[in-house]
Amino acid sequence: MLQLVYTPKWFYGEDIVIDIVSIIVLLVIAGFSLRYYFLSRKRNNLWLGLAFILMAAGLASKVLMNFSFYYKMEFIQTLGELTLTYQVTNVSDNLFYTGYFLMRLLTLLGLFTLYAIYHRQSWQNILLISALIITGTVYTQSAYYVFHILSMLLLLLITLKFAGNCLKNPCTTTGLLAASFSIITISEIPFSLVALHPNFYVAGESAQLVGYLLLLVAFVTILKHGKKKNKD
Amino acid sequence: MARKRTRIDIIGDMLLAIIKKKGEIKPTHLMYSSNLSHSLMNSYLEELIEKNLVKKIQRDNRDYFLITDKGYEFVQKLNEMREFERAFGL
Repeated sequence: MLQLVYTPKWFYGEDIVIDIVSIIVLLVIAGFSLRYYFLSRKRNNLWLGLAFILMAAGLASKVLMNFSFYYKMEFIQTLGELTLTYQVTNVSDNLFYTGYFLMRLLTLLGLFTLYAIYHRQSWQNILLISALIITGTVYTQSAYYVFHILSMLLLLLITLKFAGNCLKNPCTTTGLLAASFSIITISEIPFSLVALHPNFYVAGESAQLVGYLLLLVAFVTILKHGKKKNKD
Repeated sequence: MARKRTRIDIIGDMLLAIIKKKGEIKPTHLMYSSNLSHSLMNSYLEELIEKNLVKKIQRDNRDYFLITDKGYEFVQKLNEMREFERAFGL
């Protein structure tokens, strides 16, 4: 089996917890955005909600992928029968590859959706770029770094937009949002380098956790500011 | 040029106008504060009263519109959502 996971053994399971925290943050914000869409019918809120849901689904696929990889060996040892072991490996291999494929596809589609909110695209562009994402995902299975480079590029463009918004509307919330996305963007760099040393994976996951926690802080601050305006 | 107000923006402006007048407002003041024509204001008011965000009372032979607790909660939600929109640059 082609090794696509470079996690140090001591980090097994920890990255799953980090990804679950990230998923929760994304879904909370997506839920809020979609609630606003149902009230105001502003399309941008719908797209933002969908983008975050796609990114959360990508992370959920990563959790599935890692879970099938980390807990496969333990399962084989418990069973012991040769035929049964092969069948278990086969099932968890399929789960691993499906998770790996979905992780890349859904994350890239989510990031592109988020990007497209701020940079209007014609339907032809959307079709073309979606096709490129799907094709790229299918044919770069072993070149994992392609996914991280593309993610970093999309995240960088999104972060630049948030940074611009921060300069236009300087306040705590816009600053926190720009900072959180900057850190999430930076986390893609160590992910691209995991083949050099497994600790890069730990660095990437840690940066990702900080980024998403900061995003949560930004969201809570947004709600607090909203309540404060009401009192004024 | 300022973008056209959506339905929710107009409702928000109307409720805020009532809050600014300490929770109680005359129809004419509401019309000018929320920058609406008389007929449009009345159509929105019907909806607001129906949804229990605003209630109509009579005092000294004059009509007044009061914001309800539900109306205050709605404005709070709206402020949160506007802050969200501003933060995300939507």
